[in-house]
Order: sequence, then C-alpha cells, then structure tokens
Amino acid sequence: MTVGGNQAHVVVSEVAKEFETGAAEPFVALDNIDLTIDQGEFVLLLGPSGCGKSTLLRLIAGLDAPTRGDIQVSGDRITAGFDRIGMVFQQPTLLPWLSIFENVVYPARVRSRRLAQEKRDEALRLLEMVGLSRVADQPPSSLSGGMQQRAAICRSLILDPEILVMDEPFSALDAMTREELQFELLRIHADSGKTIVFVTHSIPEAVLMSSKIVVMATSPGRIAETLETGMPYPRTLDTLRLDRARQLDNRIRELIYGRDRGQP
Amino acid sequence: MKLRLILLPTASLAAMLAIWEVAVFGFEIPAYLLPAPSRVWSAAVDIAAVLPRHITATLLTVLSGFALSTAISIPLGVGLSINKTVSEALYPLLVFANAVPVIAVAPIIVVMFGTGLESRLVITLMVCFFPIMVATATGILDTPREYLDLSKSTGASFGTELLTIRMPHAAPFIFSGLKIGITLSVIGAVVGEFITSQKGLGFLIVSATTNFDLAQAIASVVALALMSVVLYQIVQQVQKIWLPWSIKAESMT
Ligand SMILES: Nc1ncnc2c1ncn2[C@@H]1O[C@H](COP(=O)(O)OP(=O)(O)OP(=O)(O)O)[C@@H](O)[C@H]1O
Ligand SMILES: [Mg+2]
Repeated sequence: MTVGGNQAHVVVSEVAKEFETGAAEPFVALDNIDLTIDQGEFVLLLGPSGCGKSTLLRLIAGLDAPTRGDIQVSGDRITAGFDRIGMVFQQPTLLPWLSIFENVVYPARVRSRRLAQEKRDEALRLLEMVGLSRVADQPPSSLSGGMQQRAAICRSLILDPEILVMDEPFSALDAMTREELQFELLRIHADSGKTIVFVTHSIPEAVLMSSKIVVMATSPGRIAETLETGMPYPRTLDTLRLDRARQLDNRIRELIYGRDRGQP
Repeated sequence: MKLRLILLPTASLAAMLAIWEVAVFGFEIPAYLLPAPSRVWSAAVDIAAVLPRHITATLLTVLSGFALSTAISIPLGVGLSINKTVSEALYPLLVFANAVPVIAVAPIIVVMFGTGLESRLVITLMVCFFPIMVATATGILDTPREYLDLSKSTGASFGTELLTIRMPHAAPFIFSGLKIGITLSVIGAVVGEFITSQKGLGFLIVSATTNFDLAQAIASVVALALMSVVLYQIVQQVQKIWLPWSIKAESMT
C-alpha cells in the first residue's frame, strides 16, 4: 500500500510566528516555514527541544494564528476551531468530570446535543476499536495513562476529521504501551486514510510510522530538511531493520547533532 | 482504624471535661464565673424546650443569608474573572467592602434596614460574599491551558467553553468557598442576632449573659458550634454527591 495521493492537503506557506516577550525584539519561534502535506500522508515533525514543533502544530490546528504567511487546508484558509482537524495532546487532557464515553463525544456535544446523540454509536465503535468498551462509563482517573491516551485518540476521531494533529502523544507512556499505540495508530491511518501530522522526539518512532519526516532546527525555528521515508506500508517491527530505515536514522542524527558528532 | 479516629478525640474530650469539672469544684469557682460541665448540661436540659425555636430562627437567617450570598457571589465571581473591565471597576470596591469590620457597621445597617430579617441578611451577606466570590473567580482563572486548547480545537464558543470547561473546573474551588461561606454565615447570623433579634441562639447568649447565666450561654454556644459543624458537613456531602471526581483531586493536593 502506498500513501499520499499527491494531492496537497495542508499547505504551509512562508509562515513565521513571533512571540512578544517584553524584550525590544519579539522572539522568533518559527521563521519562513514552507511545507506541503499531501492527502493521506503520515508526517512526523522531529527536532531539538524549542525548535517550534508544538508552535507549528498549534498553527496547523488553528489554535494560534501565524504572525506572517498562511496555512491552507484543501485550499481553505485555516481558522480557530477548524472542525476538519482532530487534536491529540501530550497529556490525555480528559475532563475529569465526564466519563470516558462523555469525553469521547465531547467535541460533538460542543456543537449540539443532537450531534452528541448521533455520535453515540460512533463513540462506542471507537472505544471498542481501542479496547475501552468496558470502561466507557468510568471516570478518567480510574484508567492508566495508556488507556487515557487511547480515549483521547477516540475523542480526536469522533467528528471524523480529515487531519489528525498529534503533539508527542505517546511520550508520557511506557515503552510497551507506546509500541502498542504506535501500531494502533498505523492501523487507524491505514483504515481511514487520514492525513496525520505527528510531533515526536523519538527517531525510531518517526522512522517506523512516517511517510515523510520533517527535521527542524532551532534559533530561529525552521525546517532543516524534509525526508521522504520511501518504505512500504504496512509497517512492522522489521521495518526498523531495513537498510532504508538505518539510512534515515543516520541522516536524522546528522541533521540534529551535526556531522562531526557521529553516532551518539 | 476508623474506630480509633472516633475513640481518641472522644477520650480527650472526656478527659478535658473531667478536669474542668474537678477544677471547678476543687477550687470552688463560682458558677457566675465558670460553670462546671454538669451545670452546663442541666442548663441545656432546662432550655431544651425553647431551643428548637431559637435554632430554627438562627438556621433561617443562616440559610437564607448563605443562599443570598451564593446567588450574588458566584455570578459576580464569574463576571470578575472573565471580564477585565468588570474586574477593574469592581474588585477594589469589593475588597474595600470586605475590609469593613461588620460589627462596626451592624448598627448602621439596623438603622437602615430595621430590626427584621433584612438586617440580619445584609450582615450575613457582608460576612460571607467575599470568599465565595474569590473562590469562584480563582477557579475560573485556574482552568488549565490544555483544557482551553481542547475546547478551542473543538470550536467551542465562549459561552460553551464557560459552561462545559471553566465552570466545571471551578466547581471544586466554589465548594471550598461555600464551605468557608457557610461557617461565616453562622457568624454573620449571630452578629445580627446580638444587635437586633428577639430570638435565635445569638439572642439566647446575650440574654443569658445579661442574667449572668453562663451555663445557659455556654450551652447555647455549643448548640451554635454543632449547627456550624453540621452545616459544613452537609455542604461537604453535597460536593461528594455532585462532584465525586473533585474529592479525590482535592485530597491529593
Ligand atoms: N506562548 C509563548 N510565548 C512565548 N514564547 C513561546 C510561546 N510558546 C512557545 N514559545 C517559545 O517558542 C519556542 C518554541 O516552542 P515550542 O513549544 O514550539 O518548541 P518545541 O519544539 O515543541 O519544544 P519541545 O520539544 O520541548 O516540546 C520556545 O523557545 C518557546 O520558549
Ligand atoms: Mg513541544
């Protein structure tokens, strides 16, 4: 199976983001970002801490507005609360006063009671898919971190968004749960054909899941290089043993740590 | 373990009362200075017949004052927290109003509102609006950025965000304010009864002390304290039933 219909889905053009910090010059978090993400692509953003990955993701999700440039989704300029995008954060961010089920339908509930009603079956189906049917009526606090993050993924899918935007969604999880969820997400991607933009600090995670890796650099935040992964889906644990995977791994390390440092 | 938590304080209370009792008789302290616990008990038995009437009167003031404060303070707290202009215009005045010692203005309030329930309500309101209001505003402002990002990413309007994210998040804060508020309401009601009322536990204390009947005064004070504790527990139970999720979060912090 191949990914990406060569049809541009998200187009980021000449985007800059500056923050007022009280100093004379504003802080440049992102400078001149150009990025085209095709329909159905699985894009991983990778780079050192502070290079503006989260900032770029928030712009794509419509949570913040760029200082310059613009971002288009299927040709429409992005605005806040853009309902074609589902967002997953580093923390599950489930609302403690709602049950797991209610959390999953929350994005529908925000729109209308009727929509929430209509989405009941979909919510149950999603919970079933990630193995949470039995805890649907429990409060979030009774679930483990991995289960909570699964519920958060269900929530991001409830309105059937075109694009999933995920900011280090697995970084707070233990290694085993993390691996499980990586393959679960790969399955969701394969089944739904959604475009996914995913931030990570983990090079293997990027290589394992992505169709495209965007390596970023810091001061100011910018894109260092964009790498086409060029490995077939479905991915397995063997994917990481392919020559291409090793090549990508080395290239990313070079970009992040510099040529002279070699392998850490 | 649970039994221990009841037995220990009961034992220390019993010991304290015993020392008090023995001391009063041993040092021959006159009852108009310090009545022994046994005398307080018989005073309580003496007034048992009229006690319900006074308790009801005080309770009426406490509950209506508390309800009034809640009805005013929660919307006020929400307004202060979400609107900068409202907050800048009103907050300094509210701080000032809270700083006024209520006992000092109580006589003025009585002149303005008369000796009826109205005066006692205003006094109670003055004592307990502030903590409830501040707790509400604090809770609304404390809403984590991630929750706000979530509501924004789902396209929630400002009103929806307030109702589905900010208010529920603020609810445990509001309950902390209500727990302080209910005890302060009791204080407000008693202050009101001291200066205006012909009934209520506050009135009972004043009339007992004018007769140097300390036993009866202490019995009334104990009744008052018990009322306060029971009311506090009721608010706590309501929180447990309405916001079970908040109890755990609270005990962790
Ligand atoms: N609201 C803000 N106000 C001021 N500075 C900000 C703000 N948000 C981000 N920054 C700054 O912008 C830079 C990029 O932040 P960002 O969170 O996007 O980095 P990141 O690549 O996601 O880092 P990490 O890998 O640690 O999550 C940082 O230096 C950060 O301090
Ligand atoms: Mg980040």
